[in-house]
Amino acid sequence: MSLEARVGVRLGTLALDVAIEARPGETVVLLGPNGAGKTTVLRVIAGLLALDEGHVAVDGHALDDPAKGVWIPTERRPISYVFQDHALFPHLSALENVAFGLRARGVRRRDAARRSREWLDRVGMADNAAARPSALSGGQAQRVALARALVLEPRVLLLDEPLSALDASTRVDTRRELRRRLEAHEGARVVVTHDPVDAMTLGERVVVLEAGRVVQAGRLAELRERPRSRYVADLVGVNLYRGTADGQRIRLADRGELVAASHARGEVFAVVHPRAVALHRREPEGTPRNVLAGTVDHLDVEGDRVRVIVAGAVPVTAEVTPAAVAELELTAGAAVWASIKATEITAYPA
Amino acid sequence: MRRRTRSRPPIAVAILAALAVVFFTVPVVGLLQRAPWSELIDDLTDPVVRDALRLSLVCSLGATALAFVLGLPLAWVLARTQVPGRRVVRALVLLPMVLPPVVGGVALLLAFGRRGLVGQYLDDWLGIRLPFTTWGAILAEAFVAMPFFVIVVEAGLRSLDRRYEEAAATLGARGFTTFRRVVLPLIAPSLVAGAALTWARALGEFGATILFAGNLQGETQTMPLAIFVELQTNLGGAIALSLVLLAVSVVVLVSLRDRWFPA
Repeated sequence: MSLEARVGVRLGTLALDVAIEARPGETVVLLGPNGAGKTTVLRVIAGLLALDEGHVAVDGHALDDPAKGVWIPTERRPISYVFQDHALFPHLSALENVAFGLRARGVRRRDAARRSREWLDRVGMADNAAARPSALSGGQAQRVALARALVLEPRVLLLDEPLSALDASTRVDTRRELRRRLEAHEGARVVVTHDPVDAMTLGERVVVLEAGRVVQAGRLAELRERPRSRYVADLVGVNLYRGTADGQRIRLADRGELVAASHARGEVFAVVHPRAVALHRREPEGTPRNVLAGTVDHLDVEGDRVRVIVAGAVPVTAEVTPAAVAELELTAGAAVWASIKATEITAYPA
Repeated sequence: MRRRTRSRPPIAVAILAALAVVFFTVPVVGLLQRAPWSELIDDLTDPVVRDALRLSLVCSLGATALAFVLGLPLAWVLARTQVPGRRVVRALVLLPMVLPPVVGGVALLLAFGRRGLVGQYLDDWLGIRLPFTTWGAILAEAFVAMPFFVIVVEAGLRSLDRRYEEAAATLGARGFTTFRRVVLPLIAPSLVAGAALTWARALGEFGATILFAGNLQGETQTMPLAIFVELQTNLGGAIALSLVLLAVSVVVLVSLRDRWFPA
């Protein structure tokens, strides 16, 4: 019930080289921007695309290994795939869709129907068994697609952007529900998404892909505390700097300098949470070791918080309350000083 | 003066367009007004006419069946594979659509005739004689009409979302199961449209049939051939057969209107 793969594929301008591993009962999330090659990884694992280099193995059995000449076709792999937009067969009812895989594998009609009905019941779709996919909502279609994949008891379950086809109102519930269903599956799971919230909800481990390469892998908390790329930092919403540390001083790669409370040496990343950044309309005096001058570039409202993006020699994003925005009269173009306590700066080797 | 939002055509264009409509309409009206409605039943039960009706039905359905059996695999190969020379094959398939049917008949005769390229071996080794038989008529009609089936079905296959086939594969379905349970049902509209066009074309086939299969009553004399012969001796029969073919054409047109002539 474990998956182990190294995916080397050339597709047009994209050169993909990704190692991925998922243990039984574990959900690994492939996170990355559009065009990073996430879906291609799933297609290779499912056998819809052949490897140029590397290998795909489930429970130690090779499914695709060009070096050894091994190739198991899609229909013989113990892998189920939930497609983006679900790809339910439009000419079959929900029940027939779920039963399709069992029938294709030679299960008798009556048994297939019974087991499919059980699964529809399990995903709460028993009342819609006779419905055609066109009559189902996005969330309902997803549950049928999940039942269609899980009824085959796959060793590996692949899900491509499982929540992207849903509208915002049902997304929160569906996300939680999907997590519960995934946890009930004993095999390994690989979920592709570009949404960090989906990643956080669905997965234990995250593999971040950019332009066909793994830029960072680990638990989401690690990503948040120690992002290793601009993309990951933006994803988890923190300020990330790169520079050379000499003791407490970090000389930034672009220009400027930060002072941290801890000591470090050599190439480092420095991360600052936007909540730890204070904004002032006049140059502040007192204890903060880091004061960055700049102008407000723009403001993003996020719930009851406002993210203020400050442009300057050292760009920084601050998170403040709407009250503070009003009080400081922060608008685009306003001159501001951002202060960061040295203790709020975490530096770690690059 | 009220202004019109929908532009009106220039007067000269309107006149020419109207002429075109008249040109298309008058022959149909002419046929209908000469129709011996009261004697229609008698005309249609005339032995020659009856034989022609029966033969046309047999041959056109036979040609459509042949198009299904041979044309469906061909359409699949053209739409779904990367076989080298695909473009040449597609051109060859399209050729009968633009080739004068009479030329098709000559070509068939030279290929499958008793002394033809293939025909001599069919005769010598297998004892099969195609020219001047009902099988020959079916072959001639299929030669001319099958391209319609191939073209329409290939287009249907091309527009089918590949993800359904991929989904079927991930669910454990082999190629043939996927084809039978997913592809065929999803391209059913194309199959029906292709078959209808093929059938209608086969029903009206004249040139290739008369050259390759001849004009033997009860054997190879289909409706168009019978109309040609009857026109000289039994005008009523010719008109009755023409009306049948006109009615069939209208039915095919109406049944395919949503597909080919969206409003």
